[in-house]
Amino acid sequence: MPFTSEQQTRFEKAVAKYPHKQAALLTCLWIAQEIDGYITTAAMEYIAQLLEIPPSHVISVLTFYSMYQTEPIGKYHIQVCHTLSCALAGAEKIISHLENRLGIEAGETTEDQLFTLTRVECLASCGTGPMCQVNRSFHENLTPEKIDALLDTLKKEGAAHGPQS
Amino acid sequence: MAPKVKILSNYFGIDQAWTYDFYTGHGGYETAKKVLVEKQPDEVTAEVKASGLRGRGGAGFPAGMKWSFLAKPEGVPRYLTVNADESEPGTFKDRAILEWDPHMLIEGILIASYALGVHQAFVYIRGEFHLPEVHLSQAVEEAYAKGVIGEKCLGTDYKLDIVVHRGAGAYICGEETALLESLEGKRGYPRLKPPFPAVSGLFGCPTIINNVETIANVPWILANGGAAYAALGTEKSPGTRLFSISGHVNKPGVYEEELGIPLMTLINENGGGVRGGKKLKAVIPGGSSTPVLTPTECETITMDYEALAAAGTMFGSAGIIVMDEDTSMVEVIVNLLHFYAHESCGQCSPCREGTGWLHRTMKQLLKGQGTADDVEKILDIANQMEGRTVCPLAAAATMPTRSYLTKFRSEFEALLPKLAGV
Amino acid sequence: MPKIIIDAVEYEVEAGQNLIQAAASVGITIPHYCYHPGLSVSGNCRMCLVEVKGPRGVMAQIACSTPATEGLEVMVNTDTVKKMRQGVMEFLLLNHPIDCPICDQAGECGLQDYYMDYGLYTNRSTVPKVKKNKVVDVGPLVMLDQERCILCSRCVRFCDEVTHSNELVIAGRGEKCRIQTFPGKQLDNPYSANVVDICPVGALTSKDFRFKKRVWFLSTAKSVCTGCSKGCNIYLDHEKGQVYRYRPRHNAAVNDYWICDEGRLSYKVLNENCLQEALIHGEAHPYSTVLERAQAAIAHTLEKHGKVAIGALASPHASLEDNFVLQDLLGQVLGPDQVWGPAHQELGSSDDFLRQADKTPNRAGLAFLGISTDPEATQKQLANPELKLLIILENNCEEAAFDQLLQTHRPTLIYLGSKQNRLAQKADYTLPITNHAEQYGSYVNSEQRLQKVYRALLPSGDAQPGWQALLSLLKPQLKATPSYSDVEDVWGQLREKIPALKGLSFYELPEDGLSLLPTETEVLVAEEVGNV
Repeated sequence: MPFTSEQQTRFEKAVAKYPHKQAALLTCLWIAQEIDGYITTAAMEYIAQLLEIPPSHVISVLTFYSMYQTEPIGKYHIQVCHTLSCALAGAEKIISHLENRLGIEAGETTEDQLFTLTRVECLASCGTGPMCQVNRSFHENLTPEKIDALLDTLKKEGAAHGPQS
Repeated sequence: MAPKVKILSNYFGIDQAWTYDFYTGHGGYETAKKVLVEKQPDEVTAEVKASGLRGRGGAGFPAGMKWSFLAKPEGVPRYLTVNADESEPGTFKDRAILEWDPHMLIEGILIASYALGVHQAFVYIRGEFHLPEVHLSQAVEEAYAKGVIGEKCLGTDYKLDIVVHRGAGAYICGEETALLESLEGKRGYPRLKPPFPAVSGLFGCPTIINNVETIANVPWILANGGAAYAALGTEKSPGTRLFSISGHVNKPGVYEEELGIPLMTLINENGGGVRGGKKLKAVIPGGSSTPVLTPTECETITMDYEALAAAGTMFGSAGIIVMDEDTSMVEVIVNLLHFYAHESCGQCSPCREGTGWLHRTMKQLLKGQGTADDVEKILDIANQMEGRTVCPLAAAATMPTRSYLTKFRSEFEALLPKLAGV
Repeated sequence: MPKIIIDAVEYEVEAGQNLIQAAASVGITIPHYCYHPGLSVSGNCRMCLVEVKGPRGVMAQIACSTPATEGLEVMVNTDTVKKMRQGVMEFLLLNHPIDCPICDQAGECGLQDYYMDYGLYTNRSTVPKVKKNKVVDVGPLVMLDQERCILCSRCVRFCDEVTHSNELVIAGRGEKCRIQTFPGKQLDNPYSANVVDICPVGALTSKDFRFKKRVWFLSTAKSVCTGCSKGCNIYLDHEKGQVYRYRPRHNAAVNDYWICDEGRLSYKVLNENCLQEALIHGEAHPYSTVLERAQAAIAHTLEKHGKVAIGALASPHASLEDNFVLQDLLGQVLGPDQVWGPAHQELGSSDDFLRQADKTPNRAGLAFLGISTDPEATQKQLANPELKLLIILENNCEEAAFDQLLQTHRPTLIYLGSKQNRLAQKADYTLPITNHAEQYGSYVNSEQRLQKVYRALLPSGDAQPGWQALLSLLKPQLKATPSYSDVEDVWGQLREKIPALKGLSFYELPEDGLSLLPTETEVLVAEEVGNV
């Protein structure tokens, strides 16, 4: 599971910024998540070694944060905000629409491993709700039509790039 | 009427406003240059004190006074940490600064760091923010490349490094000591206080933690003087503020206005009024943690620390959520309690167990499966949680709970079985 | 010394304590779960909330993180405080399985204890409990029930701060928080079972003790672990002649709040192979018969070969009293040079915390009595073909030196021991003596600390305290028979003959022992005298 040389460089740059190595843990976990789409036990051990901290502390920290995955997820992680402002703007309709279109319930991954649908808490996009985050990008002022268009784009893109390794 | 003063939002929505060229083309970094050359650090702090600027994260603590608490032991580094973990539901204004005007924040960090004798500043940005992080990181790189920060800031002997630190999804990391723990690569558990961060903060060193918007105000204050800032807004709530308006309004968004502006002006003029011509039912004035206001309360209230406190609520993060007459208050509090239960760090037993209990009980009530004494029980549970924990997250859940239950009690009771003979 | 006010009464307390400690020092208990004096302050359980008077009025504050400084004024028993405790109890029990009938912690559970004082007695919850993992095999000695856990983090802090082995962590967030290890790793360090002791609830239980005995049936004696020369202070829990477990007993000068796993499990030897009868060549005979024949053997050897033909082995396993009596009586009979130390060392694993390489509890006691602890010196004595009779006190006899002795010139062996071991079988005459759980006695640890054990069990079978057996054995040879009837009588001789113990008695020995090392003043005086 070692980092690629590009990742290793990023890791070294990150570590150099802090007086204590452990401060780079969140950064390391981000890098590790890029590799497999989720953080494997091997990655946790590798990071622990890099930062000279116990592996147990790595798992303790990463399970605290909602954005780290410990199991494989779809190529596109659709995260729909369902907190108050978005809820008032119709987030539940958007979630139902996504569930219908994808044939899964929130919290699940499509069989082709292309989409994972998750309900998430407020993403500070309250003025442009309903909204969702697909991987890292925000999609705001959602309507069912916009969702359809978004899914079509992602499906095409996903097919073009093949399944996630 | 005097022309409207904009301090923070002048370039919101303008393409390329986040670049160095745009910023310096509009007078950016001139203030910092002047400050670093002409002013002593204490003078800077004095100016910020004079401005009366209060923390824009939520607690509203006077920024200049906070700075003056920073311990300055010999031979120990001290840090400035900027809280860009904007996560309070209904709040999306720091995001606007980060996306549109990150150099304004960097200039603020530079001036504040100079005042505090800090040589390394951290910006803790919530993990979900992508575009804001990209724009901020680019701006930091530009600032290094242009000699704004680094070994010799703006050609002076003053040295400053700025580190952008990405979080990973945890509301609690907006609490300043949880933020420090997270920055240190740990679980975001709020710390016991004392010691306060100004004495022992990041990596055990004296640390000042300020919100993005607070720091973004600093260049203007130094350019125009603390007195000019203090002249804006009200006496105890000076300056302008970025109001996030969301919910059932026609024009949700971020609006900069002087403090003291009537809430209804914000809703009707900035926000374009309640959507679909509906009647107003309730307004959250300062982010989801603040007690809700009824239409009657909204009629007269102004948006400043003292007026909101007098009305039994809080200014918080100035995140205004507007709810129309069709909104179920029970659904609203169920939604918010889900949020707080999800975001409780789990450290203190009253919050860890209590937030989930409140949420489930309230959800049961919403489904019509409550018991006759639910309202009283929920109020009692809330009382048992509040003020019993390390940090205010429990209170952030209980304060709104109590306000919805008391101000809209009949709506809750309508869903409960009736006691015989009542 | 700061003066603090608790519930309107002023107390003077020692400086540098937190409020829980300070209150405890004046007999006031402030309920708590996460606070443990041997660990850092975490402040998460919120059970120790009290009301503190401050500049901004009365505030609720946790006692564990409140320093007991001059002028501190607190209320620990107001209705508000009681209500807060009741609230915390309710939260802690909300998702707790309340499975006391099948929980090993029942009877010594912090939740049960405080429930009696602050419980609400009515379940107000109408929602399902949060489910977590049960019967998690977390380590060789420890079982975890995540649902019973109140997430006080004591065990986590123990692994981080005491053993620095970091096995246990809290994972997850909010009500999903749970104690766990890293996948594939176990709580496996030489001190792992301490987490069972410090767990205030039934989340971490001892695999060894689980389902063996309800704790309220157990009696407890203060004792000292004899697993090595550290002499960790323990509670010995027993019922009907059987020992069920050791638990650490706080001693700041020795083991603090902890004991090692090896020592903890060494209680088992007290239940196994106890020697109950007197033996001749491994066959049981009436005690009086064996005693008489052993006495006759001694008399015969003395008559035929003289004093030099008899030797005795003192024991690093036996108490100071036994060894003293051996040395004293045989000294009278044979002269001072015929009592020797053990013929071999018993070594095992050690570390820089508690575990000592020397696996005997009283080697330092022998040295203290002036008995040589040089195995080679003893081996030389044993190899002497003139040796015709050897009296051996409590010995493991697994070593080659003994085998050799038994194969070559083969002196008559009289063994006084507590175990059915090889020596008991091989000796000509074997007399059963009590083990450290069956007697009062004292031991000197590797740090020269004299510590006492209390008798927990009745002697099994015919076993007598070693000193008593020795007295019977040597009676015919003594000019004046000392009148020992209990350990205090032995101490009468001890304090007379050993200057360091002058003025002391067994019962006056402090519970946490007595250092035999010279005090600072004594060292200084000695140095000055030396300089003159």
